[in-house]
Amino acid sequence: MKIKIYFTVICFSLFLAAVSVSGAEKAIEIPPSWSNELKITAGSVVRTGLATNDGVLMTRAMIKSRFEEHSIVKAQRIVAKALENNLPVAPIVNKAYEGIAKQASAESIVKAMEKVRSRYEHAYGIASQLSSRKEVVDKLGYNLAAALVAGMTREDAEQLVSRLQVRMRTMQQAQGLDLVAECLLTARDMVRQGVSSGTATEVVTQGIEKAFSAQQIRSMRNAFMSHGAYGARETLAKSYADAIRDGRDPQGRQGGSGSGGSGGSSGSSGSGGSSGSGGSGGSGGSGGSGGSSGSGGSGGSGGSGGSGGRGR
Amino acid sequence: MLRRWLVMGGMLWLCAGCASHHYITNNHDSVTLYLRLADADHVQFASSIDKYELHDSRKNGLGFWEINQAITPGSKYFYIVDGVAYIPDCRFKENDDFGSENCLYQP
Repeated sequence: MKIKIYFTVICFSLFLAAVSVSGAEKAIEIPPSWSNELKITAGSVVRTGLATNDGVLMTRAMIKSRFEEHSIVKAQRIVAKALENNLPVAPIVNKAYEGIAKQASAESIVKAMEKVRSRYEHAYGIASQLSSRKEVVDKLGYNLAAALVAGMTREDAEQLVSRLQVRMRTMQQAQGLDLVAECLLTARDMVRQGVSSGTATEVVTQGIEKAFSAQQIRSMRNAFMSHGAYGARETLAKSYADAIRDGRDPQGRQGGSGSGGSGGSSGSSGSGGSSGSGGSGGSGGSGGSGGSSGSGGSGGSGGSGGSGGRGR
Repeated sequence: MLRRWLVMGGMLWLCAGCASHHYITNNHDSVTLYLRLADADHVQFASSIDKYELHDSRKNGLGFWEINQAITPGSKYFYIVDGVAYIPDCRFKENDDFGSENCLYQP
């Protein structure tokens, strides 16, 4: 009797495995010549929670781009590993699509996918030191990963976060987390504009040392975004760091401390508008909507509206 | 008079050879991007908004490659010019993990 039950259970398990593998195989349209390894890996990725559609589409795109089987298996394992560690999968899958569009080799695409996974693992690891709440870790980890890919070094990121941890001890948790978010965004936006990792970290670290609030950091970022539209951004960032260190208003140093929005929405700027050029007066403020956006355009052709912004 | 025409011709010649890039935000969900590349035959646009699907740009009367896309702030993008990835001179950039960069749309 017992043997009969065991036999039935084993048969049923084999049946389930066969059905799920063949289901994934059918969905992904794996060529029949491919090994069982790929079929099983593909099936497991789909089963472990990657939205079936995403997993199927990624594998299909790789097959279409004539990836070799072992590259697809590697790519799927990277995705599976991210899923296991509760890391976001979309940036990794998107990296595969980006590589395919850029006609990168399968090998370099797999490497790039692993870089993305590793970056998020590192960023989420750091973020989890600041909070145990998943939604907070997701938000901070995402922004930290964005700063890293923009060019911030891992060492600078760790240094910045350790300063923030010290600062947070003297703050309420919600305020502390706001400050962390603003600091990460500020560092990210500076590095995205070509400011070196060291200088961006220095600016934000000086702000932390001087007990800037989240609002003050945000205001400084908005001012930088508007003042930094043209010219040497590295020099500008250094001047911010110097000003904060000396106890001066970093925005005032730039000839008027207007709040200057980060890109405005004036309706008639056409193609010539530049991102808001900053106010010529006022006192700090929090960014706002950059009312003077569009002034100083570079010869646009008019255009019928829109918040003209220049690509560079 | 002749001198003026020569200067204007020279400026046009210089501009024809250089690459420039800008965009217009048409409304909240649409952006028109312009790229001047004098020698290009085929220009495609790709962004993270739709998994880097390639979209053909069209050359307008002013010599700019033009495309209208529903990209959102934070989207990454690049061009494929005659089959090769091309990153215009944009203000916000990040590494692409392939040894190059991507532009970021950050109005």
